[in-house]
Amino acid sequence: MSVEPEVPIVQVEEVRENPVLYKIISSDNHVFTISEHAVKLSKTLWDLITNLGLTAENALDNPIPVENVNGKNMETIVQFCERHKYDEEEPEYTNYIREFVLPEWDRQLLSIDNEELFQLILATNYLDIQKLMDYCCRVIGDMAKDKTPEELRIIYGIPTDAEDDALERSASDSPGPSG
Amino acid sequence: MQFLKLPFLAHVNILKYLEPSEQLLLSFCSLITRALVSRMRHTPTYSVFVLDRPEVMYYSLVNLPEKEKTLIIWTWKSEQWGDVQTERVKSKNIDLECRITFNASNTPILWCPSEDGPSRKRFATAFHSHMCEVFRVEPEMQFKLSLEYMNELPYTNTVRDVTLLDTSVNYEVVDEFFEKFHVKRAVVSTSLRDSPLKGSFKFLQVDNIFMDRAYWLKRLQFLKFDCENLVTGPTEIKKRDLVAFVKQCRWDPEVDKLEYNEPIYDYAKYIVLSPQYLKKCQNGIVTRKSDGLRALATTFAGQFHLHTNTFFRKMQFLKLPFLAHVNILKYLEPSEQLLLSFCSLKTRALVSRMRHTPTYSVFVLDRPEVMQYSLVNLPEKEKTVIIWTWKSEISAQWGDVKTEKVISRDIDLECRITFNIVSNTPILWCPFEDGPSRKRFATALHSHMCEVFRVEPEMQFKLSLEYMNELPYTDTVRDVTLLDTSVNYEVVDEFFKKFNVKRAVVSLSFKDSPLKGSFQFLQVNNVIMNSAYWLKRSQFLKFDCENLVTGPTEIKKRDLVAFVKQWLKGNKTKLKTFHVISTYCVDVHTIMNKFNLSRKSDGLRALAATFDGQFHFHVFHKKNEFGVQT
Repeated sequence: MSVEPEVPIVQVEEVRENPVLYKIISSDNHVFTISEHAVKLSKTLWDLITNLGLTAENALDNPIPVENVNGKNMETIVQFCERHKYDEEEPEYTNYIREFVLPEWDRQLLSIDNEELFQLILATNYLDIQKLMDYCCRVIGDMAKDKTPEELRIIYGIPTDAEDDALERSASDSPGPSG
Repeated sequence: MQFLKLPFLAHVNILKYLEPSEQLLLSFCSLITRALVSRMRHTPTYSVFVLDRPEVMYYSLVNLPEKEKTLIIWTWKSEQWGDVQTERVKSKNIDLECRITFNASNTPILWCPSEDGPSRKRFATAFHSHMCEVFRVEPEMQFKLSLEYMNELPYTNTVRDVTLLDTSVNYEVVDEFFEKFHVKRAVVSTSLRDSPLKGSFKFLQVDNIFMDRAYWLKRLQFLKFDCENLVTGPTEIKKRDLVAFVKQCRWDPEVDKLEYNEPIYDYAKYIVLSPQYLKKCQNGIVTRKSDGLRALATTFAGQFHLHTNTFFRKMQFLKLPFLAHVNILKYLEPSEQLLLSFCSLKTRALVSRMRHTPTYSVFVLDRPEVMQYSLVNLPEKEKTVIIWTWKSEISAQWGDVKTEKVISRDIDLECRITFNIVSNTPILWCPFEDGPSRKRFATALHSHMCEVFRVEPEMQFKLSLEYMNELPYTDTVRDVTLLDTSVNYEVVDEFFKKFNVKRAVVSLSFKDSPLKGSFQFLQVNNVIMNSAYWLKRSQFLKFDCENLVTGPTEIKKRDLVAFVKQWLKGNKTKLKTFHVISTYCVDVHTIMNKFNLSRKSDGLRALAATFDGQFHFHVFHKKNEFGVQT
């Protein structure tokens, strides 16, 4: 039986001609390595790397802490970025782009429950990964197909106006932090 | 050959070419080969013990459920192999004297007839340990068996998934099985004959139950299920049983149940998530009063699907960042955005904050008791956003589809909602009893569209005039398209008295048009008619519009001449373009020869042209920078 390291490290494959790897530490102390091409998909991370002056020589010695993203989401994000690092730029979408088909690999990757998808979107928004944001939103958009307002409320967790009012009333009735 | 002295890279390469069963036999060679094989990279996987016939056990690796690949077989049938030598299979916990042969698919078969029951069970258990240690097989066992062979199973208390095959035993053995083994994940019944599950109550608490078919399932047993996921093939469960199940369903709001990941994805994804299934089904919501937990019930073609909203519970759509909202709404069709805007005042505000291209809308009334509301990007290219109907057979047609409330600022409507199978357009089945409430709804919907979707306030209509009374409250209309109708010119006049048509009237009428005989529409600025065979001289000469375009007419040359004469006299001051197709031969030279197309009263000039029965008359109203009228 292999012994699991104390802090799991997600390894990624990198092409020989571009061996520059960066280390990222998630909020729950999982360590991930990610290639230069992949990390460029995240505007936030790439700006950080550029501002910190990380180079091929010192990249692995200076892990980048990302406080707002947990290990589970970071793993998905790293997988996604590695998968799409050599993608050509996609054309600007117009409105109502249902004809765009989400690739099967990405659909599988994003077949997660709603809570996870919600958290992943927050992480993606923070890391500013446009493509992953597009794909996550596409998955959420697809959920609305053939759904009535009542079903949409359930699927998207939207409270009714009455529930909203009740929530506001109870919030205003409850004593503040000072008691 | 000194295999063990080969470099590591060579070992990796060689083992890459070996089948799992060959790697397994290699691992039995010695402790060193066992260590060698275990050092290789093995994808973690589950295994399954298969017991589907007497005196034979299969051990398989499972990559996909029900797609296991047999790794090794052992049998305790009496010897059939004469001179085949026995040999010792040894590993850490295994020590077995047996004969080894290979079947047609090269799977090794261990012949061990002399072993007794307990030693067979020990071997099966030890073998699984070997697989876990060397091949990274998951420790949790899985079984696929006919229950008469239950006693051959290895030593364990817990099982992950169990597949029950056809068997001749009764429910008591089933109960015994579920008492002996704690099934952690799923029980799958592929039994085609009378299932032994019939009568058993022990398996009803397993978290996930999948049954190929369950004709035997009776109400008493059905109502006792207390699982997370229950998926069955054909049953004889009746509607009242389903209703009773829903009524007494004891959902636990503290536990996330019915999530569509494993094992639903493993075993039932084709049943419960088939897009075709979801597209055509009827939906309804059931709510539990005690804790407000809601469930989505769907039916289609004899299938009933109940899904508690715990799956949905944690999506906090409204708490997503603005960029995500923009992105998500980009993927929604206008009709989906509209339904989202009906969810609450917050979603209404959210949708209205998005960028909507200003556009016109059109109310379509082309058949009785149905109205469509469409957005128009190009004239005559409208896209229907929503349909509502007040047909009386609603209840008969839609049976148990629950009504729901569509509420917005000025809208409060209790209706059933379905979707057009082809276009996915939502259809509201409304119990409107009187005309005024229908008119109020149409007017309120348009206001909603104007406020939320930046639809232009000016309404447009496309209708058969017999449904005129259903139109929303308004005085002015931008464009009106008149379809075939059976009403007469009096109704047309009434329409044009009631509504001030600001821009155009388009007649798509092919039959006898009601416009024949009407004089109220002749002052509309733009009149476009598909065909106007009915158009007579008296009516024709009374047109006082900017642009008049007609399809085929029976207008004669002298009528055209009279029309142009009127213009030359200073009448028809608004006229810009007049284009008519006549079934009679029209010769422009006749007109050109008769007139100098320059009007004395205001100096306006005109151009007349003919081609192939078409007559075109264009008045130059504006002067360009060179002082030339255009």
